[in-house]
Amino acid sequence: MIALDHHVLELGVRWLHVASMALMLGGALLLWMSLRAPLTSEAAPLRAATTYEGAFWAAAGLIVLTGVGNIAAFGRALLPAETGWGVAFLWKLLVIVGLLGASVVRSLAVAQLASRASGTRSMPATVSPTRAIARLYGVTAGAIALAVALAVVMAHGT
Amino acid sequence: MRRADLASWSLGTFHACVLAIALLVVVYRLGGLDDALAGLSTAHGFALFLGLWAATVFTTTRALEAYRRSPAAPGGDLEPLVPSALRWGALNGVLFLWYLAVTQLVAVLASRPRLETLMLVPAALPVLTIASLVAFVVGALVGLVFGTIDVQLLRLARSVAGASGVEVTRT
Repeated sequence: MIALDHHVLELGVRWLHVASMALMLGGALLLWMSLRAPLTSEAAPLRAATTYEGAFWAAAGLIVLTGVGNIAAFGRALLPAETGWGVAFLWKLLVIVGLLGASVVRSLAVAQLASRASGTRSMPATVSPTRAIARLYGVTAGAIALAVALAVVMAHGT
Repeated sequence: MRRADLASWSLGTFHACVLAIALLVVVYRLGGLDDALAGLSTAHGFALFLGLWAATVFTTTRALEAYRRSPAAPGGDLEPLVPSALRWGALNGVLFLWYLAVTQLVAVLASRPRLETLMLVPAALPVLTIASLVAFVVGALVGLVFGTIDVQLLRLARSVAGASGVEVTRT
């Protein structure tokens, strides 16, 4: 059995945590910009959005998995909930839960839109629902940026 | 991932993540998180969450499939999703408990690969049976809560997408 160095494992866990966050944030920003622009066809951006949604949830699971690993790395030095660090940590978790809740709505809406775009039913002629999805991608990017800011506060002290 | 699984994949992962975060917050607020995590190796912790994640996505997929087969689904009525979530939530609780028991046994066997360790398994079966009943009830309650939340999230998704027909689309 291969014995992994403790520090290498910790570094790997942190890399996976940051890479997952980068995928979620980068994808949300890209789709926000793509869907805000005037579209000649909604099929291509919706295909990209559907692919992103699958990757988003894989990254979300990895973020939680590696996030707990990062907290475990503190060991007995973990600061209690009453400290500034503890408050920032709890706020970060609250932001993540809110982000995940909003993201379920976004994913399910994308699934419905993609299904309709590939079927015979046409999109509503007046206000395109992809505009609403674009706003949700903007909110997603904003919530991830807020979680990153709280992570920076936790990393550099409060 | 197949595109057909997006609804199950997103809802199942959402349930697993929120469950893990809720547990983390409760233990942290009670002040026992450092002790709880100190007794858990990285590999064991990862195995636990991956088990919870897999079991939850599996049972969420089955709950949504059961809903899609219900007579109310084509009309867009979401209420039958709640009892379906309750049933599959109960199974999720039991599945996760059995997964915990197996991973615990593997961890013990890895550190003490002796026949005496295996001899403890029959003695643990009555405890596992009672624990399964508790996990069944707890899982059902968690399924009920998430089923109710899911109905609201699906309604919101419908309003965002401007949909009016089938709610839980296979995309």
